[in-house]
Amino acid sequence: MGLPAYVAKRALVAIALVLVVGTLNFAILHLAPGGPETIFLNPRITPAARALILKSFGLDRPIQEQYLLYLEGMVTGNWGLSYFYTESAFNVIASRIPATLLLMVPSLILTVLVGILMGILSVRRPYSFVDRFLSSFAFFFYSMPVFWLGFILLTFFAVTLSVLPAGGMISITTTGFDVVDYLRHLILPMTALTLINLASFSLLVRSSMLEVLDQNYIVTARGKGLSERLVFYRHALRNGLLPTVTMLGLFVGSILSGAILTETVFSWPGLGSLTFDSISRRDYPVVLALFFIFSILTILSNLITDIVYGILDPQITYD
Amino acid sequence: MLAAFLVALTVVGTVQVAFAQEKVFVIGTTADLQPTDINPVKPMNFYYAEIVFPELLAWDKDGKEVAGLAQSWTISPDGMTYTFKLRENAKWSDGQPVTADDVAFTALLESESNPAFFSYWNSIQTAKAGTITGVTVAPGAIETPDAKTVIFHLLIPSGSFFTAAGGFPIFPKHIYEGMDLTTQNLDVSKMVGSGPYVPTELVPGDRYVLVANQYYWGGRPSLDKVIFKIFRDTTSAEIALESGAIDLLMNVPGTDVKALEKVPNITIGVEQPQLFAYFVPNFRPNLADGSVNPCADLRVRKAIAMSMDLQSILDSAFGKGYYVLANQIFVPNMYYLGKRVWNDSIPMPAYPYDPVAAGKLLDEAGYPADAKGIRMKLTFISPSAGRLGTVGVMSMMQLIQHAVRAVGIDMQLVMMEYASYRARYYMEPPKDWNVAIWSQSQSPDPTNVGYNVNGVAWNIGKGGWNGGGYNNPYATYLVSLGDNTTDRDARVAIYQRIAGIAYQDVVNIPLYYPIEVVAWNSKWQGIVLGLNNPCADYWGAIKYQNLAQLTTTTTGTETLVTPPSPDYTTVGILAVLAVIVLGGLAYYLGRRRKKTS
Repeated sequence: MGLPAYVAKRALVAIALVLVVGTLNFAILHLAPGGPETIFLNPRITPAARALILKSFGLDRPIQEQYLLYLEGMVTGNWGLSYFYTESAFNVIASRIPATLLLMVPSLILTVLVGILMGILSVRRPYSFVDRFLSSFAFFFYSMPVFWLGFILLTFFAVTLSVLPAGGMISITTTGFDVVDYLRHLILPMTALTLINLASFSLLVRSSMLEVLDQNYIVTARGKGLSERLVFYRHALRNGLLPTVTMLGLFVGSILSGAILTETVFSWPGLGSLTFDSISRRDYPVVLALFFIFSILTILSNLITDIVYGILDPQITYD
Repeated sequence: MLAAFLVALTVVGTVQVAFAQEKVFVIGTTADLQPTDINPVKPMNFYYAEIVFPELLAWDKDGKEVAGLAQSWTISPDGMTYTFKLRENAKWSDGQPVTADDVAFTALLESESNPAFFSYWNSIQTAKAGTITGVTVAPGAIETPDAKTVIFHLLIPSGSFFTAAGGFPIFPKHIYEGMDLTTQNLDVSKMVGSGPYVPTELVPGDRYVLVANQYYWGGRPSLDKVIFKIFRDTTSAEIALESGAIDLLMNVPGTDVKALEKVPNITIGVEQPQLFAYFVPNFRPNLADGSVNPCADLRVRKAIAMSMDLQSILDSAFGKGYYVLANQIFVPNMYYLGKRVWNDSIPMPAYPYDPVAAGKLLDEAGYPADAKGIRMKLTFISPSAGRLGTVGVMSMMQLIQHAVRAVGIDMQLVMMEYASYRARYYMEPPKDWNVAIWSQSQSPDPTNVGYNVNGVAWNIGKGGWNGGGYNNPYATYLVSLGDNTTDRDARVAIYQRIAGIAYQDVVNIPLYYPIEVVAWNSKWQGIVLGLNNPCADYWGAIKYQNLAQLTTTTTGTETLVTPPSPDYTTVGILAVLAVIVLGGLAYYLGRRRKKTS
């Protein structure tokens, strides 16, 4: 099976998966006690007024009809009207996507770069002081709740040292978007997310590299008289990094969930904080659309991972 | 290496501190703000709305009416006609005059389109099908003889109309007329208001920016901008206050006050918002599973109340000075048009701590203790978020659980997130809980509080404020009488009687009246908490009139958002350390390379 056929097959599986996940999302949200009407309806309003409001949001329709409308919305992008913002859920979410991307992408890049670097440093001399120090460092932050780390960073850098802003994406008094201002605000949340996720990457690189360095072809390469540098970087590293590509796919999901807490602690106005708020308010259209986006992103990133994996490793065939 | 990277970024960041030259006051709040909060046909947040759209009246510290958008007012002797004269200099922020038509437009808009607030105007309404609320204003009910005079003619006498009409934000007809506000919100950047500040930007979940209104009838506001910065977490907000990023923080948890008091340049203030927290017993004889509900028995309700040493419990949960012990449905600072509604005859505490007497009451009620000392199991429901989901309240609930156990009540505490909690509280009867915790904010009018004991219509079904389903025809009659009585003294007497009945029947078990802690940067002067106290709600410690008059201690060019001074010494030490670590690492790696080659 060639790459196009493989992609088509995986895409079909992905569509089925999205459908299943979407149905689960819908079911879970509607099974949770406390519908939107308990949040935004004044108990003193007349039954007629209550019925009209429920009708205006489509909440008077049978659940199966709401489900079909939801599925249709997922395809057309018409996700309905947010109960709280009184505007389309699409617009509400679209306005928050840039903020999340501006946090997630730099954090992902930094995590990968620093993680690989730490893995390499560890494996250059396994079980040495540097190796143990870096492993302990990674585990230390891995075992730390992201919100706690966030508060420590905020207290130290924003209050004690007074060198970095205490949350937000841009300064409170700034109007418009200032790149330098954004970068200053990015430092702490990005650091928190990176530190928490570093362990997964650096330890994976380390173990994978250790395994590769024991392979026969490495011994052969050394036997051929290649320099250690060449053996390490050209032969071992390329193969050693393969599992991290798989990790990247899974990583998108964990970064998104991490972003919910990180955005809450750092008052970052992105999708994470929107998810947090919308769940509390039972704002069904926004929550369902967010879940849908998260599902698509995770499934897509895994699909891309599989494809890239095949490109990186010629031994892999698309059967 | 990562440390070096961070230090480098930090040092770069230090150089990039931006200085604002405007007079800006930044208020941190954990209460989110949506465009619908300032949409007149949605369930508005009055606190945010009144900064932009002041009401006809304001209230002094004794709840007495004072001039707001209206300069004077008269009420006919029969209490059926209310005349308001608007300020001559009242203008909208686009320079248009505020007119009687705007007031009439607001009344019509609200009564026809806003289900949340239609009851404010129900004394001038008549039934008409087809509108959202099912009501509309009767022809001729609102008269505008000239541009600055508006007259309301009531259909029925109403005790609460004056405070309702006088306390409602007024909206500009020339902007809102013709708009379908049920499906769209007005563009915040184009909003026009008559208050001291008008909005220019609302970034949902992040900030709400207002700028000074040059046409404000109270004179040019002292600030250029007021910004509400939204936080989702109190600790993050406190850090922002300490760092100088925000100037004032509302709703500081009492448990954090000690830590904040140690921070230089932070002033802590307290005020008592008109809030009342209490237990709502379920009055229905049976629960959803058919089991007998012990709380339907007055003796059991009394025994629960008497089994708690409430003062000690609250001292532990909130700290001394950060609550007021409650004994009745009205808050102590509840003043209705200058008259205190508080019922002095109700003892304090309402049900003195007496576990022995509580045990006797339970014996009498037919609940003897078993071998383990347990008489009954009761389900208490409580939210884990919102104003009743604080650490203090959770701590209080656990202490109460321990206290009632001593008299043989096995309290099953069920905590749940807010949406689930509301669903459980409002569930169709019979309900599946014995006791729920609830809180009520009280306006300058006692009407709403009366609904605690109102057994008619909506109260019997899902609950409203009377979630327990208490139904006493005499109390319901008094509520109706209070609604239709216009004499102020007579009204106060009626509501005091209602409070007395609520006490006798243990309609609710009073817990506490919260104290709101506000912290601000000490450079600010003129902050008056509780201004217009009777109107102060949970979010409204600092009112719009006060916001228009704030000054700083800074002289010369006033800089509101003064960036804190970076600690260059510490940064320098960290940078040197990072260089040493990096240098050491490089040296080590260099030596290793030499060895291997």
